[in-house]
Amino acid sequence: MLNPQTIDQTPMLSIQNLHKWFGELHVLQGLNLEVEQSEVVCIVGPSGSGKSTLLRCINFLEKPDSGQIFVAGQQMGCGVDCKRGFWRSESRLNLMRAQVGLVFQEFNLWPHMTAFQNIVEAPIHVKGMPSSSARELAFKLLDRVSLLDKKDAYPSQLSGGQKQRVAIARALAMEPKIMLFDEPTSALDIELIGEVLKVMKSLVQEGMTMVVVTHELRFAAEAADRVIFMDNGLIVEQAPPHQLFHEPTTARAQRFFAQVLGHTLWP
Amino acid sequence: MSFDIAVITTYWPLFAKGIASTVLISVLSILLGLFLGLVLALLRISGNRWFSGLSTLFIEIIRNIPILIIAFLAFYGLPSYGIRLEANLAGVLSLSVYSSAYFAEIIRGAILAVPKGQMQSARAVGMSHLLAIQRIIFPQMLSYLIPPLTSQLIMTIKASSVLSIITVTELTMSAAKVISITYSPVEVYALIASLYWLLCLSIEFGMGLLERRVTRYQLITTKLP
Repeated sequence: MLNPQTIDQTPMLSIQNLHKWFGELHVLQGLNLEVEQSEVVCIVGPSGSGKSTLLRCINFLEKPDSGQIFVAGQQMGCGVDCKRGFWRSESRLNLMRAQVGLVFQEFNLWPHMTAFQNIVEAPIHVKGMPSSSARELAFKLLDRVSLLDKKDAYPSQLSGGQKQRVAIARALAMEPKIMLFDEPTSALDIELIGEVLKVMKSLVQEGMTMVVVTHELRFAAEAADRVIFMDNGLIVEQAPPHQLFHEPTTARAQRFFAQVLGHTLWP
Repeated sequence: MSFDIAVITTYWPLFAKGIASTVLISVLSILLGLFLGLVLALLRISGNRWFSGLSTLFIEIIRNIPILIIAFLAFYGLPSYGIRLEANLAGVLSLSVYSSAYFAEIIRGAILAVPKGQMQSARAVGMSHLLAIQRIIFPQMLSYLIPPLTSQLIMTIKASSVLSIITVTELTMSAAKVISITYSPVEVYALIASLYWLLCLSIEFGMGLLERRVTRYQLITTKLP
């Protein structure tokens, strides 16, 4: 949760006037967002509202058409290196991406590697970490997601929840400054969702800065400092979770939450 | 109709030399062709319009010209421009260039067959495009690559027989020599047909072993204890 002592002056994530087009479709329409250090932000909204595209733009898996993104004060993308040629801007982008952890809905674990190998791969081959330190780190992370006993399992031998926990450990292995989650529990069986949310909550407690696209309103209520309601490529409304869920001010958000909360068992 | 086994035993050294030459030419052409094909495939999917366009142009030109014409151009055409290649070299070069176009398309297809999320998760942890291909995409594309590649390797070996026409001294050339001495085409062609058959079969066998090895991770589905 938000801890006033650790807040830096620069926001951990700053998005300014972000635009993204898919052909004729204007997916992100000049979006602005700031996330403070150790802040947990959940993004909700109807499908097609641009939530996933926003996350993919933050680490440049999708290249924004215009606008600027800063992570811990450094501009994502090539920034000033854009003018210095393809290779230099690419290598800068790779360095920047390594600081932003992304967890996918579909896990995207590497099936030809064991859980352990999935975790040590990037530290060794991207960061150049010695394999002994990477090993130690991997054991620590596997322990943290309670999967030490599965270290030699291939992804095909793991349940969905276990796969997603390995994927979280893989992202954490790069020691990112911020973690992005793209509907991390949407591909899971209902009884496996809890184990993944538990790991995410432990990250919240450790002060990780997180942006989570999710349909788990209960998780948002318990863990988020702020919930953002997105529609049509823009932030329609943002507030602390209970305020947004129960007293939304815009008509669009009122319709959405009435619909969603009507179908959810709500405490 | 008779079958004179003596034709084979008497001229065996000639056939042995021929098969050795066919193997050498095929191996060199396949290695060079695979390397060229890999470069062409990577250029074509690079996302750079110029690289991709040039690679596509090369592939579309080479793939639609018969190997015989490519060999003629290399052996009889290049000397007009002052490049005089020895027959074996001209043969290996034309077979490499010819097969590289096919290899390139097979490799490209295999790379594209790997689910998109694999490249995305590799880039998301900071891997460069090339590192992601090497560490994440390549090991997974092998299972999509090996079956069509096996067929193409066999096609390449069989296409090497055409090179006898530009005087490359390989197996088919040896056969022609022996026939010109003995006038016994049945024995000779039956023999070299079986030799080509054996050679191609051993490639199939070897590639089958390789396939089982590189796809082992896909077969592990049992739960750990």
